[in-house]
Amino acid sequence: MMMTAAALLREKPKPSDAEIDKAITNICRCGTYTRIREAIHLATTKI
Amino acid sequence: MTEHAPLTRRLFLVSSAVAGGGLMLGVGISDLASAAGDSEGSTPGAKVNNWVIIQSDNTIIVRIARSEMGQGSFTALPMLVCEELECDWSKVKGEYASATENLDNSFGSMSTGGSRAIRESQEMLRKAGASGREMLLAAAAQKWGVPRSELTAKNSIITHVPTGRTMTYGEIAEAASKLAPPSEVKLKDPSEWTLVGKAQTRFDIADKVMGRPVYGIDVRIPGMLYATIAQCPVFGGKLKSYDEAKIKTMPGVRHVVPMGDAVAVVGDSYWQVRQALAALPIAWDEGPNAALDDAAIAEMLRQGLTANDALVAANEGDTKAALAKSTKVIEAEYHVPFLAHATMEPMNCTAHVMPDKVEVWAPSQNAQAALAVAAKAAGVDPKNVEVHITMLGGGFGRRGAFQDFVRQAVTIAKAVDKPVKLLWSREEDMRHDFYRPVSMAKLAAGLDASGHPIAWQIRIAGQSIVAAVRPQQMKNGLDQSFLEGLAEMPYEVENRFVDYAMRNTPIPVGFWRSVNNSQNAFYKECFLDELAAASGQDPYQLRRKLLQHHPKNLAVLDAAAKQAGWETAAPAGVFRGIAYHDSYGSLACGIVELSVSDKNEIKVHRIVCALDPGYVVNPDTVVTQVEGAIVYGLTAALYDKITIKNGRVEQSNFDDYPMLRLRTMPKIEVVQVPSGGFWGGVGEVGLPPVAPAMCNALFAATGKRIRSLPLKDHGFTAA
Repeated sequence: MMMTAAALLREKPKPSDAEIDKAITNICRCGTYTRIREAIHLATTKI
Repeated sequence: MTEHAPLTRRLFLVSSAVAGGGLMLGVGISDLASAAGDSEGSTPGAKVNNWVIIQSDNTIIVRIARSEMGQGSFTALPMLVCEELECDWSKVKGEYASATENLDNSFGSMSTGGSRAIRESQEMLRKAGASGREMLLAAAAQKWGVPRSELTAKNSIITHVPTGRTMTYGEIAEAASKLAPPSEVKLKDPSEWTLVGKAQTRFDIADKVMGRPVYGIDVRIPGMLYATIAQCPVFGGKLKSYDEAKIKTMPGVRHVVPMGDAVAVVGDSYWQVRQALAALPIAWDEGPNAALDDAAIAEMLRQGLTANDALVAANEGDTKAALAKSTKVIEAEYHVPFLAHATMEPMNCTAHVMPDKVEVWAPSQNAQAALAVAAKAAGVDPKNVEVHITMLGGGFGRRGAFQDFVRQAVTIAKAVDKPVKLLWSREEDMRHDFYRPVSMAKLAAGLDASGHPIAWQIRIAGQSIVAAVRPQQMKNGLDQSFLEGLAEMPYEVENRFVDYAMRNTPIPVGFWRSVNNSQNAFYKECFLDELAAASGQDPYQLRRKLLQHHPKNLAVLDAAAKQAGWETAAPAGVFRGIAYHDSYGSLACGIVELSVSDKNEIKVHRIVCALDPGYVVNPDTVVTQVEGAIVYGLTAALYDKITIKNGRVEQSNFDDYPMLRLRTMPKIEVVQVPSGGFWGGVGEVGLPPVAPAMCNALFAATGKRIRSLPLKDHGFTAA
């Protein structure tokens, strides 16, 4: 999940929700998807 | 511990050990410094009581009995201790008590399930914190020669109020640990809490982001071999023969270990043993169930719906008479399939059987059960067994009541006389689960002239978990727990009759997150929606009427409706469904908002869940647990079923047992309304309302009533 997100941000530094949805296909059985999306958006402000 | 912490010698040792594939003993969670070299029970510091160790630098170690599987208990349980201890929370660390230490039950139950960890432990832990505090204060009073009443304690500092003198917990802990504990302690009123009830950062998060925690699958021991296993694909079958010669010369292959109903290949790497197992010719004695299929199971359940051998679980008033005189009678049949746990981390366990000791590393929900099973499998006294609970990559009930992975690993390790890490493949995991049971329901309800339900009759036919796992819990042949959430419910219906025709199949069953509430809420809440529709009532208003004399339940129902804006019109094309269900001592209501295209493509926009667990320890964890339970339930409702053909499970991986993905994730809003006065569980309560709220929303959207799951089977997709 981390690696996929890192790869996405390398290609698209400010991805939209739709772009995140398309790129992040990894499974989270604990259901943290909303927080993952938020974290990716947060990361774009820090990188 | 952050990545910027100074590199102490211990930290360096552990980091490099992990980088080189070495072992992190025991804890597997943050606090790398104490993980290196220290095993549980030998942590340095003053042991103020069983639960609290205080080091001279004011580090506080709180011992923990329940397994952390992402549900946050590793942080929440220490919060309960520390609230009373009056310590500096920033210096608190958690550490597992071991099952071996707990052979005298001094740490109580280690079984982690049933949403029990906090509600079962809270009183004991709060008392431990209060007791520890009083001992520290008593020791300080002794040292200064002043009365205890002149002292206060806060943030690990004791102050003598009249003079302003202070001392730290670290300075006095050794002396305190020599005192007798007070015979009784007074606990804070919840209104006085300063730590409990406020969101705290979990101990394990920083490490998890950095990939540090050691899950069962990560464990590495020097000299370790890898094992993988094939169990008879037909339930109830046995191993007949295998041809070891055919794989003996394959690279990395060391041993083949037969085990009654399974065979394991042991070798130098997981890949090598997987290849070898796939190439190993195996003959199975398939046993009596080789022809079993879903049709036969359904036939048996259907027979149960009208059979005469059902046992009564609830009987109030005269349901038969009430139905006869009802203005309107509504009847329906519902059913649900077997479901798999599908933990992200497949079943695994590492074991080392030595002449004088057995050591086990397991992602287990129950350290005590793991120890007992390991001792039995190795044929040794339990006190010679050490169990390390690693981080769990999902439990959901799979890793609690059953320790099959422990038994197998120990058996193999004993046979090959080397440390062995047993790893199941995903396919093996999917096909050898202890499934959420299959069941069917026949419901009938009678409405009076005003549309009020006056009679409620339910017959369930289905497989009992308790009959297989804890038959001693059954009374006169009845597994009452199968009817949880149905036999007792807060809705006021004057005449109620619930009975159960137990129909057990050879398919192994177990506790799946929310257990029998998962199907019972679906039956009850969808059917109640049918009653509302049949009498032209709003489903929320009908529930308000049925809960009118139950203020706490009503408050939860209302909180969900308010958050969802139930009483204001939804945007065009958006439809809502509601479901109310109490479980594990907590009260909960779920509302789903969705749209459906004319091609039956579902888009779930939002799921609202309101809950009252009595008290909340870590509110952020409550949110994450409810979110997680909702996603678990939503995944099953949309996509999943386990089907049986030729006595085997047909599914094998996430292509035929799909998981929800990020793109399908709805917005989830959790409304916490803790009303106090009781302690309810949180881990599972968010799940039961999901499937019925989904189906009720789909009825609102399409007029189609759904009476079985998954929704995929009805032609619905959720992209």
